Parts: sequence; structure tokens; C-alpha cells
Amino acid sequence: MSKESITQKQSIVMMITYMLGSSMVLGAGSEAKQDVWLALLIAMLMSVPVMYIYIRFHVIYPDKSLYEILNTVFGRILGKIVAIPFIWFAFHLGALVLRNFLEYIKIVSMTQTPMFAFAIVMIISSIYGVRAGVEVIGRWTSIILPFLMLSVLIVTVFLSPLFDFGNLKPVLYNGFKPILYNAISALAFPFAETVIFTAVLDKIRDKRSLYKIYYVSLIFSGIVLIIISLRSILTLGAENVGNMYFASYAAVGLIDIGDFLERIEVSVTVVFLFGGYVKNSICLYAASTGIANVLNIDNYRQIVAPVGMLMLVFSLIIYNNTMEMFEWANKIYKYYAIPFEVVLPLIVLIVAEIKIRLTKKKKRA
Amino acid sequence: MLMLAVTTFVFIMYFITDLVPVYKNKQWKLFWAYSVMMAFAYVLLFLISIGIDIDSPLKPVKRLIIAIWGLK
Repeated sequence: MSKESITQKQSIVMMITYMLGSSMVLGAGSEAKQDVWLALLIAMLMSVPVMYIYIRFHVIYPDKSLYEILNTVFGRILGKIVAIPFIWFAFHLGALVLRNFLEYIKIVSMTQTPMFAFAIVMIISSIYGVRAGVEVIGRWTSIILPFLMLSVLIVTVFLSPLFDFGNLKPVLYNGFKPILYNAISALAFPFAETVIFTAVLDKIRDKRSLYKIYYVSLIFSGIVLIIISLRSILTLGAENVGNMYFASYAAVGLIDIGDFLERIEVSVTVVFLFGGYVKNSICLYAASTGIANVLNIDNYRQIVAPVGMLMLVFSLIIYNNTMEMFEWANKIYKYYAIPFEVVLPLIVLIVAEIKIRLTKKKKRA
Repeated sequence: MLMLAVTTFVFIMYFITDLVPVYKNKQWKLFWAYSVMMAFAYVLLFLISIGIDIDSPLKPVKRLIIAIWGLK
């Protein structure tokens, strides 16, 4: 089987779509209300050193995925043990993303249809995409992202007559603490979720472009998220955004141009679903490659189907209802995710750097 | 019932396309890993399809995080 490789452009589009995937639907840092734009800007700044950790993995071990790096740094047995939290995070995140979209579809359009119907279709598509390979996901995302951006642009333009800039005031009404709190939330979801890409970016052809991939993706997706969040605040108002489950969808529903261009939420939903598919596929890819590494299975493709089915099951049982999902996302997730996204990668990087320096000293001696 | 039928169909298709070649190639570690994971998934989907509530494994995690960070 030929070695997979992805181009710099494919990596950037995958990462952008990954970061935007579920955050376009759920919103990021939305509890900051009218100061959400400040929270997102601060989250982007906070993401810079965090992403530097992920980039550094690929700089010091250019041709290795995250799991191969863990085996090299910690040894075969301890490396597999340390890989388990990362595999769990990728698996859990995939299930969370799947459930986010199941709830979204159920609430906004198909209220009577059982969630399982969408879930099985989405997960079979993800299994198919991951088995086709990360190259195929990259090529597909390169086609989809322009449509995603076009939909964001069109909706923003059509909503612009309804913008009330007074909704952004008063700035810093509740002080800086809620903004910082929500910036950490936005860091955890979605920016630092790019830790999953450490299992993917060993496939990139040009290793020199890693800084560009991460930081261009961060800036682009950050700006798009700020636009989407601001759009909701400017049209609906901060209080209404806080009371809604899917504020961006509600904002799109306000579009009514000349009595003929209205009810375009469905077309926007379809585009959003593509973003969710990419995010779910990448999480499934990361979990499958991790499990293949732990079980010493040569080809991760052979284990994708059972991992996907388990992800489907998990997505159906993690929450009892939409309220629980939002409670987890807004209240709990940042405390849960930061250890997997920041603390654990930092520990691994420190150990890796120490090991490399000791190896260099031994070679000189 | 429809959910169970669809689940069973999907699992049978995956068994035929994935597991039979693995069995023929005598890749026993992969065979058992695949079978155990699929069996676990199938049992849980069966239970969900007959209306049995399965507790979320995140509940203890949520309680732990609330306890550690003193969240309300």
C-alpha cells in the first residue's frame, strides 16, 4: 500500500474545516454575550503557544505520528499506555461532534425522526471516508470549504440590514473575568482541539510548512468564528443568543429578501453538516490509528469500522437530552479538555526534548 | 424494530466485507479485536433499540470535575 501524503493546502483546509465544524453550529465562547468577539480574540492569542507545542512534535520527529512519537519517547509499553488518553480524547470528541449534529438536525428540522437514522448514515459515511484515507478527506475538504465560506459570506451579507450595533454595548459590562473565562472555553473548544492533528500531520509532504498550517488555520477560522458570533449578537441581541440553543441557525432564519429569498436555513444546515462530517472523520481517523498502534495492527483501515460503530453507540448514550449537551459544552468541557489538549502534550514535549538533548550529549561524548 | 433491523444489516455487511477476509488470512489478533469491539457495539445498540436506558459514562466524569473545581 502506497504511503499517504497530504499537501500543505489540504492540511490547512482540513484544519480550518475541523475548527469550524461544530463551533459554527454551537458557537464558541458564547457565554461572554456581547463581548464574545473579545473572548475569541484572546482565545486566538492563547492558542499560539498551545499550537507551538503541537508543531514542535512534528519538528523534532518529522516523519512520526503522535502515537509513533509516544512509542519513541516513552518506549513501546509505556508509549502505548500514554497513548490511551489521546485515543480516548479523539474517540470521545468524535462522539461529541456526532451527537452535536444529531441534536442540531433533530431540533432545527427533523424533530420526529429518530436520531439513530442520521447517526448511522453519518458514521457509515465517516467510516467510508477514513478507510479511503486522509488524502481523500483532504481533497474532499478542499472542494467543500469554499462552499462553507460562501454560505457564511452570503448569510452575513443578507443579514447586514438587520444589524444593530447597539447590541454590542456596553463593552466589558461584566468586567474582564467572564471574558477570560470564556476565552479559555473557546481555547478548549475549538482551537486546542487541533491536538488531534498531531495524529494526522505526519502525512504532510512539506514539513517546513507546519507553522503556516497551524497559524493560518487559526487566524482564518478565528476570524470566521468572530464573524458568525458577531452576526448572531448583532441580529438577535446578546440575551436572545444566550437563551437559544443554535443561535446562528436562528439568525439565518431572519433572512427575508423581497418575500422570495427566505427560509434558507436548510441550505445553510447542509453546508454546516459537511463541516461536522470532516471533524468527525478526522477524530475517527485519529482514534483508529491510535488503536491500531496500541494493538500492533499494521493497517488502521481494518479497525475503522468497529471504532466507528463504538463511536456511534457512545454518541447515542452520552447525553439524555439537549440541555445536558449544552451544560457539558458550556460548563464542564473546558475543565475536561484542557488536560488532554495542553497539559498532557506539554508533558510529552518536555520529556521528548529532554530525551533528545540527552541523546545528543551521549553522541558527542 | 427498524433500528434493530438496520443495525443488524449494517453489522452483517461489515462482518462479510471485513471479518471474513481477516479470518481467511488467519490474522487472529485483528480478528478478535474486531469481533470483540463489534460485539460490544452491537449489544449496546440492541439494548438501545429495545428501549433500555444506558447510563452515560460521562456522569462520573462530570461529578468528578464538579467536585474538583467546585462548580455549581
